[in-house]
Amino acid sequence: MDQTLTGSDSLSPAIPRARRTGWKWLLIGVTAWVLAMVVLQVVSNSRLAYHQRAAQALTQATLVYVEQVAADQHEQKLRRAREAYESVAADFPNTEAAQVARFYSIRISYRLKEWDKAENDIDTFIEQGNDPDDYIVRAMEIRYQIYQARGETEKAAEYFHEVIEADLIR
Amino acid sequence: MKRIKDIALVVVISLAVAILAGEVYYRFISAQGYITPALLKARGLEYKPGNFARYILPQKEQTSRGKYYVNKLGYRGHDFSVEKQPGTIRVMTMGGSSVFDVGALDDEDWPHRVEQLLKERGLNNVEVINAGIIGYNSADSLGRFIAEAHTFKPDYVFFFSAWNDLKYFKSTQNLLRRQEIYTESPLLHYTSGVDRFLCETSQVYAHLRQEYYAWRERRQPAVSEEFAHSNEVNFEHLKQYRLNVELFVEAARNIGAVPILMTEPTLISPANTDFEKQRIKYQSVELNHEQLCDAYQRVETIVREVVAAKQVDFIDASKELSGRTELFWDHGHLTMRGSETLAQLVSREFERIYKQRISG
Repeated sequence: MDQTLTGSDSLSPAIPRARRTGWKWLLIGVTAWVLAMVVLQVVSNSRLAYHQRAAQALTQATLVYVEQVAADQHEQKLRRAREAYESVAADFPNTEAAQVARFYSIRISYRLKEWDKAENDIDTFIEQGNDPDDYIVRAMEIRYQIYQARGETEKAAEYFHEVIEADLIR
Repeated sequence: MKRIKDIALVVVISLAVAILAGEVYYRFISAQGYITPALLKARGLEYKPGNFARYILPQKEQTSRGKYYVNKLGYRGHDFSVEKQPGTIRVMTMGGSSVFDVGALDDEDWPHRVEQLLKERGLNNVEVINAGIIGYNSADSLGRFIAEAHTFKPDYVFFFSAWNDLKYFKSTQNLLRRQEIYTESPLLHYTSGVDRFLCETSQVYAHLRQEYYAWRERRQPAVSEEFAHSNEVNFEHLKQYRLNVELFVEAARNIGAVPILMTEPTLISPANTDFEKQRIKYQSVELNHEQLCDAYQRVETIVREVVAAKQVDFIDASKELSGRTELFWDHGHLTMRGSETLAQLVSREFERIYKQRISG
């Protein structure tokens, strides 16, 4: 074994055994690496499938939201769409689709003039910090619109600068 | 010899461990997460090259990660039937990204808000089709109208275009010679079967590839070097612009629709503050502020002249909205408040035009 370690004598009968041991470890290493890669791929594929189901659910909610309805059914449509978005957020937490769905729920609250609810949800949304696109800036714009709607014109004008600056550095 | 073998072994083992660590990082820790060209493509809108416009939205449902809903016919917003239902007043809006309304959320792009507002005012049979496409200039919009949009038999057609036309204003050549062939970016498309296999099995590869192609695209100039342009505005292009607007009016009338021309609302004005100038993407049009203000004025003058010469219904959106800082994200894309303000204006004006026409 000492000879194997030092490798001082290539004619030693221990060397072929050492080579065999080396090959064995190499084979084990390669197999472990390939297995690890396969496991990673399987886990990734399963996560991907989950995210794709979430995206499909988001599309279904969007279809409710963009549906063409008569004026007297518009408010009902918005409420139905918000429920659909909230379901996506609840059913598929920690996905991009859930984050987009949360954003649209906020927007619908604003459109339904539920400004306190919308503002609270904006705080939570921004704190979470997970932004799949430019939704945080857009959430800030909704807050600006809430200030406007409440008649807080000066506050709104100041905040609008913050919104644009956030967009410029995005 | 043995020393070389040992070094090679260490390198291979280190590489294998690094790749494994990279795979774990990109799949589970990295902010970008799991990516492939196919997934990245699904995040944005998919376009295809077109014959009558440089590119088109294909006829398939797209959601762009929940940002923009494009229906099965390739138009933003709710589905509509190709055949117009009896009694429906069908309105189409044609133009670029300001008509597509990139700053507006689904169901709130100004064309669809116009539809909702008109319904609230009792015009329940109005149906609006948003035919705006991001990046379209007046020639693209005209092409889209004569090669497809007319088949939907619109009763009224809105049209405005300015910013995307200014993009060719410094060209020394005619619009026909402009080299802007739509190409599919390798960032969003596999380049071969091997590329696809590697992207789908290794996130280290997919991310490195992404970095490489993004770097390569960043190095490309905004305007193709093959596209000859001068430092001065070539006002000969105004003739092209005028012709496009005139042809649009004639095309709409030829199919029995009422054309309604609009001026394009913009943040750009001679009175812009430094804060506002920061938001204007001068590099897209390669014009300085003075040139831009001048070009906008000339383009708007043409629209007003065509309106007067051809007796066209007209909404001067620029006069009402331009320069109002809170209505724009940048040079021309509307904020949500901007979309709502434009929708209020257009719905009011449309109601006036519609009532005038039905009362004879």
